[in-house]
Amino acid sequence: MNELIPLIVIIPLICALLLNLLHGKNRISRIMALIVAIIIPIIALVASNGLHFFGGHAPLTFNPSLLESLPASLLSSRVILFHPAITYSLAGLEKIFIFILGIVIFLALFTYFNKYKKVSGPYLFLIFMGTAAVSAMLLSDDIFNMYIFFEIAALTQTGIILASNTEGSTETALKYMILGSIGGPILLLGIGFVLGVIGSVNITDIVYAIHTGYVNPYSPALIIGFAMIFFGWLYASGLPPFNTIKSLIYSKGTPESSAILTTFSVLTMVAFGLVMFRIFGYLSVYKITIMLFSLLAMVLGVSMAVVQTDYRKMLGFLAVGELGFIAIGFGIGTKLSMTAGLFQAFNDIVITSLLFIGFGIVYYLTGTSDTRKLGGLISLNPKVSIMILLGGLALAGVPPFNGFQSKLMLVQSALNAGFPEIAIIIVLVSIVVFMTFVKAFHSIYLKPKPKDLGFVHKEVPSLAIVSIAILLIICLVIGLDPNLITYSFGQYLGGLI
Amino acid sequence: MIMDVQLASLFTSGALIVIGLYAAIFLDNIIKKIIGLSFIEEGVNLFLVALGYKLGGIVPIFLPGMTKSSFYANSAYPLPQALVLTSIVIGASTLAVMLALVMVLYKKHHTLSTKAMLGEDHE
Amino acid sequence: MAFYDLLLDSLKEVKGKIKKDPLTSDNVSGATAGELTVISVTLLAALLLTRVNLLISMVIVLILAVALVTNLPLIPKVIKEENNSLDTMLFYVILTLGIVVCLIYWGVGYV
Repeated sequence: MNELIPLIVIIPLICALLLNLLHGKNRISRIMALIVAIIIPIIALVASNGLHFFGGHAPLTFNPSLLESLPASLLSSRVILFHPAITYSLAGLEKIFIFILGIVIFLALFTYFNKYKKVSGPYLFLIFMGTAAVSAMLLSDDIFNMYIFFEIAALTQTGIILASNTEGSTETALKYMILGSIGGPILLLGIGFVLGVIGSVNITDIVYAIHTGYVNPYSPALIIGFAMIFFGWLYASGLPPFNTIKSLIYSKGTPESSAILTTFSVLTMVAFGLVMFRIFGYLSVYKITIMLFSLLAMVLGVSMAVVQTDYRKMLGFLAVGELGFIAIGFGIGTKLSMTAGLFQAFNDIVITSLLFIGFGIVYYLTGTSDTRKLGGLISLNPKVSIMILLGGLALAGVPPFNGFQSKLMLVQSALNAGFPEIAIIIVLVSIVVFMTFVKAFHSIYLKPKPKDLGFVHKEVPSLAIVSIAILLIICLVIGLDPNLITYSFGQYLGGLI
Repeated sequence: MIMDVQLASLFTSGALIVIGLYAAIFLDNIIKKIIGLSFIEEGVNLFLVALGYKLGGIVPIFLPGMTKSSFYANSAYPLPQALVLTSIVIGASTLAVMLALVMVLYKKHHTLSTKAMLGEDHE
Repeated sequence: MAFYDLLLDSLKEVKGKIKKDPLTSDNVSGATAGELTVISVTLLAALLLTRVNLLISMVIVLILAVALVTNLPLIPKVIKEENNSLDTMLFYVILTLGIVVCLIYWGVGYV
């Protein structure tokens, strides 16, 4: 048992509660928040891989002394392999995702502290609670535990939108909760169907029961359970029909809130997507439905983004469209395509956070998000403009950045699997993403400055520039050596496929 | 098909979910929508509890004086009750947050109609 | 030439329907790019059906092509459906729930 694994969830939880109590004491809150935000990625890297059984209840095969005292009929049955306790598992994949989650939270908090003199305890509570919830979703091997933390993450996302206090944020929060109260219970209903057929909520046991023929893999209850869980996954990730509300959330939040929210959404999508693949990957209808919804996500996201004149809405739609790329990796279903999908998820977190914080600087300077009223900002601070341009190129898939490597892997996997149409669609949508970004960049930075453009602040906040620079360095490093990341993903998937 | 307690509970939970979906989609008053969403959550909780039913079963508490084999043969399945406890709490907290948001929005818009409050964005 | 006139008319419709205030060229260029994306992605995705049955997929692709071209200013319709109102979102959510359950439950037998 590895004792550091539950600490990845417990430390942000305790910090969240303490920060809520320390609301009003600025200095202590800031120091504590930054310390915990840097501890999370360090623990994730330092902890050794393994399983952790809550309560110490390991399966009987790990406990030979207890095994001796049982009757012989039990010893020869499958019961000795079952997991009686909630199990958390840490492998290379979880380490990488929790590491990048910690880095994004740290940089977002950096930006938030730089902008405001007084920090809000409840807002920090929500951020750290969400971090704990998403880490638990990635680590947990128990599907009901994942659902509980998913509901916690949904509540904290609502709270983060409310805390942004922009125009219409309360209505957006209520809409998100209403749609969530349909999506969440349907997911729980699906989990209930799976529990009813198999009798356990531990994912390893469920996979074992289905693949060894303990239950009928094509039983109608299991298929309906898959349909419900799939619908819940659509809500959790923000694929159509939930793409409108997710892009609305991203456009209504403050820049660092949007960066945090998009990280949470992508990680939730990865966690539940991997669970669905492990349990239901044998169904051929699984691949078809995921492919259908991912194509829909790509086309809706990009075609809505390209007509926007408000750059926050454009970025919201682009962020939702990028989820389609991740889902197509899951949909094609081969080892290379799933590695590409997970790699695309990692890149998506880094790049969208970079762009949200970068465009947030523009909003901080000018107070408006309408591209028709902006122009000529490149003269104000050329370094920031170039960094944002490089971030946009990474989004579109230009070498030598990481977006290029993951999209190339996606196209290669689609061609290898015998889906040339999907490869063409991926390239086409990437071109339109590139066009959208260049259009927005030109409107904000390159075109001549209109005479009536007034500035709210004159100075670019320096810590935001540091955040963008760090994320851009990560993009460049991963782009030059993608094997740092894809090796762990390949190892994890090698055990599954 | 003998209508025992488990089957009746499963049908009731299905009815609750359908009624809740109807209320959440078709009714215009925001409070009625939220009541409908609460119906959906409670219907799912009832479904989970009904999964643990055992005909003629006993409460899964191992009292002194019971033999292990009679306990294994007769007890109901204890896992769903534990799951449902957490789920009920989540339902209660989401309901509380939604109602608080409705209170704030009512002060702003002075109407409880969803079309007026949550319709097209007024930008 | 009649097709070219149809294209020009639809572009003018796009220009009129997107915004009421004076347009800059980036709105119309974006809308045209969006049109092309939607049409090409839909037709390419329909080509995926060739694995099921060649004849049916060809029929579906032709029907889709005709339907898309005759309703040509597609982007204003997409924008109208992707509005921020809760009723539209709830409609699509429930429609998708129905489609997903039916597709998966009856699709398992066929595929």
